[in-house]
Amino acid sequence: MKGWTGNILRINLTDKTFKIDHFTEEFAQKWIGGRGFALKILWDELKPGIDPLGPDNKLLVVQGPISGVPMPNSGKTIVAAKSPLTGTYGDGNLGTHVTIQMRKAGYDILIFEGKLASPGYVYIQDDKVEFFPANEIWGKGSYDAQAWLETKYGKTAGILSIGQGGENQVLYAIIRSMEGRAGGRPGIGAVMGSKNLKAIVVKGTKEIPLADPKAMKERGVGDLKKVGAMDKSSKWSVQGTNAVLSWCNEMWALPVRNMRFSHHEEAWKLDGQRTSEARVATYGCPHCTMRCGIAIRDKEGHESEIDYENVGMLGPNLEIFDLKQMASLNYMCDDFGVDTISAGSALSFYADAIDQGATKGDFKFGDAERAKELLRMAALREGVVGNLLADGSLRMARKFGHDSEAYAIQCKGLDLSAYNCKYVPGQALAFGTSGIGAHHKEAWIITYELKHSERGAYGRDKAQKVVDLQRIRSSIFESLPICRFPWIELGWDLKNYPEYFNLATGSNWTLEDFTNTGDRIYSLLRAFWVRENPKTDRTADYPPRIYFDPANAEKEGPTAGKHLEYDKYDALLDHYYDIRGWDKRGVPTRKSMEKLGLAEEAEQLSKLAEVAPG
Amino acid sequence: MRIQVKLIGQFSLKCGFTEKDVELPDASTVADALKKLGLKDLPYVASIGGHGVKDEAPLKDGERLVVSPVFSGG
Repeated sequence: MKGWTGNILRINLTDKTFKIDHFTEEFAQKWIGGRGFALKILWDELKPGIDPLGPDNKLLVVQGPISGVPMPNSGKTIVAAKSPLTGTYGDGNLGTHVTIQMRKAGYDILIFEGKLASPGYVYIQDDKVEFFPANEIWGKGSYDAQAWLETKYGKTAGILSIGQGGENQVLYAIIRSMEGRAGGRPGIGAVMGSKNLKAIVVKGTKEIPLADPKAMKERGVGDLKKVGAMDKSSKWSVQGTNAVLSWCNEMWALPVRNMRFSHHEEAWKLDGQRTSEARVATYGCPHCTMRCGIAIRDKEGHESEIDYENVGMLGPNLEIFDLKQMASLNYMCDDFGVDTISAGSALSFYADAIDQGATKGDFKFGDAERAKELLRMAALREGVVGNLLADGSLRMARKFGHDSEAYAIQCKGLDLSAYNCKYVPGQALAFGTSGIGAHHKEAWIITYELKHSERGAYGRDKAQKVVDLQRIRSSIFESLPICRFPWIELGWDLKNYPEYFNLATGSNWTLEDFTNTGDRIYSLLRAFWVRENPKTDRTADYPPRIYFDPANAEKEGPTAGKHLEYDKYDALLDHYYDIRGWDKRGVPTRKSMEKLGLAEEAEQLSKLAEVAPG
Repeated sequence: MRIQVKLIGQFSLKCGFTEKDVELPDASTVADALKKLGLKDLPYVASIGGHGVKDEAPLKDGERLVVSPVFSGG
């Protein structure tokens, strides 16, 4: 087998043992790597209904066939588990030296099973696996943990770690690497913490098996220069992702005040120009050609690495327009190891619930100092309020009652990224149908909606575009896995990705092979959800209820009086299900699964839930 | 006629301004404005009042045209 190492390192944390399993080329060609591998393994190995924070859950760290190879933006790693936030499959990708080191150590997949008896970390060096206590770093933030491990194992060692958020099983805790990188929004860091696993360190010395290493190297080195030059010429990374903020504000799609509003006059104080001018350093992932990690000083003087999602959710969404204070909240999220998006959403929901009288409290929108205190309490699970916040907006709403779930801004338990969809139906559908909950990495179609359609339209073309993007992102970007920015932001042709895949594996894949695999992945993602929620129906694919409420429509501006409409959204959802071959409840039909090579999985699903023949 | 132009991200760096008034001949279209700005050949999204506008859409005096590069999400 070329491209893939074919090796799975299976580590039992309870027994402190390990073994090497192997996967077949048939498995590899069917699931690619990254998300595809993680999803199929978790489907096969987890019993339905297990506790995501119990020892039966498994934490996976996964690569793909081009991982670790020098080519533009290929330094991504997938971390995955059953999510404690959504109760279904969850994953995230992050840039890390683990990508290179794991492949050099000879593994495509790490599986962590069971639970360490006491806090520790695992060190993998080629065929050797060692277990160490984490006395020096347990209870420390991710910056200190990373620094301690780097001192011990070197700057280029592959290191994944959690902060106190993961240790305390905050349901939206993430996994961190290389100081600024983070991944696993659906609480994958909490799963790591539940296993008493503070860090994973990987070093390797072997050759990555490639079908045509010479051609791969020549092309990779050339393209690294070429795409880097494209970025310089376009000036994209001057403002990076935070250029989006001004645009969202202009479009009235900015998250403001728990997404009750979509525009704010003071938003310019946090925009791409302001963050670029405040820049003190720039960071990127391994093999990055367009570094998007813009670091600015926070109020306490830390370097805080920001991108648009952080700024949107911790700034206007909380009505905080002081750049340094927003940066402080971002730094705290990173150090505690919690997702900036869900942390921002939990805080904004809490302030909103107080405003609406659903609970009592002393937190108001715009109060940055109190937001910092509450964030600390959440990360440490301190007191009643800290524990409420640590469980995220949906669970808080269910505790508060008073119909507050209407303004918990989430889908399937995962909070929406920083795009206010109160009058953006296609993007609302993208969040609603995302296989892991409301994550922007699955499909982002706002620009399509404006350029190629009517903003307020609910046409089949929008459902088709969401499916198209889910196909591409799930197969290429999540399963190779690789950063998506060169494709859209710089216009680097999508056909490059199958070409690299073929150089690595000796295959002859086309884009169509990837999109077909993307459909297979999305079908199994949905089957995973159904397996965990056998009574599911289409309401699971609805965006937050407040978006449909006329009383929540803007009172002024270009979208005044506009809101989503249930009958039209249902029609859009019907188009989506029809394209996917799912029934009216959003459950894949047996026929659609069989067409994608999932006959066995359809049979398994039918024993737990009603599966229509199709 | 005179319109207000707001540029997003790298377009503001390319053109040297974020926001300014731009003079155009009467009956100009969105495409005419983009051509004058030197942005016509780049992937862009143009909008007025929170709604997308096509290249051939006629501009009116006093309108605010927002021009953004195409993004894939933050």
